[in-house]
Amino acid sequence: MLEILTAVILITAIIMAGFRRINLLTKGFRIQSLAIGLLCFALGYLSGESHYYVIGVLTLITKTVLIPHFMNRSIKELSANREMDPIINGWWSSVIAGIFIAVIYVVMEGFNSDFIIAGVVLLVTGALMLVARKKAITQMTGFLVMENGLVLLELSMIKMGLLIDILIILEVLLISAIMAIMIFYINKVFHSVNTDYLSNLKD
Amino acid sequence: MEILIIFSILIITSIISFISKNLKFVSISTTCGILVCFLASVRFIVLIRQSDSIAYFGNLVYLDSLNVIQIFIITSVALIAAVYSYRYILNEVMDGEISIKRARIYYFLFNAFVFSMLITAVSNNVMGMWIGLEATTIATSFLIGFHRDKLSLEAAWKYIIICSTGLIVGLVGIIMLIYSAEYGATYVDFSWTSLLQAFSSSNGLYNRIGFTLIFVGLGTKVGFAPMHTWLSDGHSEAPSPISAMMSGVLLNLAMYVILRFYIIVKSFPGLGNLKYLFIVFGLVSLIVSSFSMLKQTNYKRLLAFSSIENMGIIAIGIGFGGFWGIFGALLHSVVHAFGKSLLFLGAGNLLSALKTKRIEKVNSLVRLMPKNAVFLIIGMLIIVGSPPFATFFSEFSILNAGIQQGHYISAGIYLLCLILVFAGFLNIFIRMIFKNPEGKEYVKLEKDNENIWPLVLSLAFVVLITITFSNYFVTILEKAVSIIGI
Repeated sequence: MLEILTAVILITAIIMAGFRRINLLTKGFRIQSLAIGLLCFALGYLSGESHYYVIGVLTLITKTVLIPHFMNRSIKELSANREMDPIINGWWSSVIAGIFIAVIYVVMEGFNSDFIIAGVVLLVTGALMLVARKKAITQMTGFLVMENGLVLLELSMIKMGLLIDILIILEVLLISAIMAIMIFYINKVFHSVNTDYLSNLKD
Repeated sequence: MEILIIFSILIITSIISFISKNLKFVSISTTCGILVCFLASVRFIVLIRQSDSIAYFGNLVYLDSLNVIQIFIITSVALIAAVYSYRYILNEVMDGEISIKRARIYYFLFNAFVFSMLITAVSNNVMGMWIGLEATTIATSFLIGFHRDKLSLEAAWKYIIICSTGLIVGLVGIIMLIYSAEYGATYVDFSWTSLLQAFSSSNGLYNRIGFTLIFVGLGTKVGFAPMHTWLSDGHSEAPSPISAMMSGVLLNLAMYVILRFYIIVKSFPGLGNLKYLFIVFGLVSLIVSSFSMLKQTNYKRLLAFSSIENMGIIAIGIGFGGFWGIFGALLHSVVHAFGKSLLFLGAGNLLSALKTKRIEKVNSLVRLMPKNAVFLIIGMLIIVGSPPFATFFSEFSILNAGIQQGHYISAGIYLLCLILVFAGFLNIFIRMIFKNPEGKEYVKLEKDNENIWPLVLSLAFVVLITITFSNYFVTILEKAVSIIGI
């Protein structure tokens, strides 16, 4: 069961790296967060500790319900709904994500837990989406994928107290809300969310 | 008990700014709240003189000399900025640039900013430190984009993306460090005091990778050179009191968190080479900022690059090590906070009087705004490191430490960059203040007289540190240096 969910997470990472349409990005992010939430539940069932259930419920609520709701509200106003000319092409981004998965599996062979590798893959794929895209909304999605990778990493490595987990998830929620509000204002002032217009303050 | 007072007063003032409609009441209550916090920090300094460290609330809050210096800097610069914001926000509302509702949001975010910085400073829990830094990102991103025009939104977007990414990388590093410290233990203790002892039997590779990730990730928030791109835009677009607080205090606070982790990791046997991280990043920051300063056309951006340079100096001081290096770095961080707030608040006065940010449009300040010109000259001398002020002694002791420890080439590059900054900065400011291009007659502006008291207050703090130096201040600094260890 755990391997199936990890495979779903990695596949969504590869596919999301290659998307050009923005509403598909939200759907892909929802599937990925659903897989992570189910993973938390499965881990809690297998090991019998209750704190995995709490993390799972919190992840499901924030990342499948609240954050996509924020993103959809700010996407509604956008006129252009696909990424026109990204820095790295859509198909090549998927290929590069796949190559990264292979490289990371080879480099981190000493670790015997699968989730650490999946966490690092999500971190790197999120960074790829952040760097190789020009629209602000895709950069925000890349940041959220990095946060997903962080949740996976922290699940498998150490056991944090309940309050700290709640605070970290609350911070992610607040930052996504702020980014969504900022995208709304960028759209209102610049009439597009292409970050090419955001380069007036160069040296 | 004092900790509860500080936090509850800050929560009360932020709620007041939310519900009250009267702007003057909101700003005066903010100022009084921060004054109470400042008095509490002075009381902490008095308490620390007698005992080495205090812990409150079990292991949640831990105060030692490193901490108390940071709390003092936070509350005093916040007090200066709050006193300045009263007049500044009132002027903006009366000019019609912002509405009263946005001014209330400003005070709410200001209180939230000070609250989150204090959480980082007093916390013993290493996760609490990280959560505090992330909370400052949340509080300041709307303060940078306060005016909501094109340039502010660009600066705010860059800030939030770059700093959040950096903090995620930092969290990965913290997780790795804690994993290697508590390897195989069932209960994970996050407090800094117990992590300090838990490092006898842990894996060297995890420690190295973890600390490097922490350094690069939290170094984004400090403003080290390859990761500094948000700083010049963010500090030049934010309102002036917020720029002063971010430049003087927030960069220092992120450096303090890196220093806490450095103290944990340093005592482990194979990791003596970690100081080269500090030296290399510090030198790159120094070189990038000193060369960028020479071709700036916007005076607030110039001051932002000067912040990057000073943080580079502090990192080099910690990297060189020895008693004098660390002593110089800590002294420099304190005096830089007050000097930079003096300069930024003076620049804010310039901006509200002359309404332009470009250097070549500002001429002959000595006739237009003489009082501000005097304070700007004194502030510039403090930042550049000129002799009667403490920054000269801190920079000199860092140089001394570098030559003592044998890093001749690094000390040479450091000295060259300092000379470059001295000449370039002085040149630009002297042009702004004394140049009279066409021999025009300048009449003193009416706006010169207002908002001078916060500048006087910053200068008073610098003088206060100099006067009480051999009594209070040097014992606290020496205790802090002994915590860091040689």
